[in-house]
Amino acid sequence: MGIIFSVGAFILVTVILLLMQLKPSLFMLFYHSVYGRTSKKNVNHLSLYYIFGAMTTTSVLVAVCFFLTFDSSLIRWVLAGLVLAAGILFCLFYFQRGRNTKLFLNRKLANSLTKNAQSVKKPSDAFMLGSMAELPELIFTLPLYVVLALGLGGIEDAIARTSLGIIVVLASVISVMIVWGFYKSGRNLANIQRFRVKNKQFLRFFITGCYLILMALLIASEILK
Amino acid sequence: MIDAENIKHELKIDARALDIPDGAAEEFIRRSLVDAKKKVSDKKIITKMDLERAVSAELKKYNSDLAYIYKNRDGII
Repeated sequence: MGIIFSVGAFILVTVILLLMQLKPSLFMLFYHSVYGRTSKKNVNHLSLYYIFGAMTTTSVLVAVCFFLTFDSSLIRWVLAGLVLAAGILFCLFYFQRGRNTKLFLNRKLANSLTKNAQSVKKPSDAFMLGSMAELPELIFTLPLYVVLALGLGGIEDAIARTSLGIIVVLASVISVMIVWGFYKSGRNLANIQRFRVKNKQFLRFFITGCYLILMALLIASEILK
Repeated sequence: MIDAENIKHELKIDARALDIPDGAAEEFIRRSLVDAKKKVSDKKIITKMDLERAVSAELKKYNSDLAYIYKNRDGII
């Protein structure tokens, strides 16, 4: 059961982090605005810093959770509850209603993030924007990092553990790279946004399903110990 | 006070990001703003939303992507 839990937790956490929407949304706004004010060369240069910032925050969160988490029956049951709560919150509140991809964020915070994304000029601005993009979603992702820490803790080989941790960090920015790829292939903000609105409901239910399966995995790992 | 210059400036940035040539963009942004102002001029109170709706409807005649971005700017995050 130990290795099944480790592999299952790794896969599910990676998939959920890959599909979270705040990082790619901010990137869309940032890319569109910077491209409208400068050049493609400059925006591609700044995009690297955005991705690097996002990866830095994810790495820190993975590392902190790994070193601070310890395994026990109680922790697993509490975590199962937290994952269930995060899943329900995600299903009900992550996306707001309407034909848009408005997120759960308070409008003041959303407008502030939008303004920050639109006013990026230097690499440090892009880095800060990328590193901040993870933080508002912690309510949905922090239980996942703890589950991941438990899963990685069950793998004895240090190299395998480190490699899986690196894969999770890379997976958290894949959605940003996909958006970047869309822009490079000639699509624009309008095309990408229409695509996101079209697939919003599918994404909502798919990720909620992943949360529920993760909760079931945690409970199974306790019951079948 | 609704700032038409601000709207024009934002739309020019959006148009450039959509690879619309500057000259063409400037012309249809100007025409859209003029037509939108005419559309809302009969209202006693003009809200920001009224103007945005009118501008978006006029922009759609020239470029649907620019109109979409203008209308849905607040709906991305």
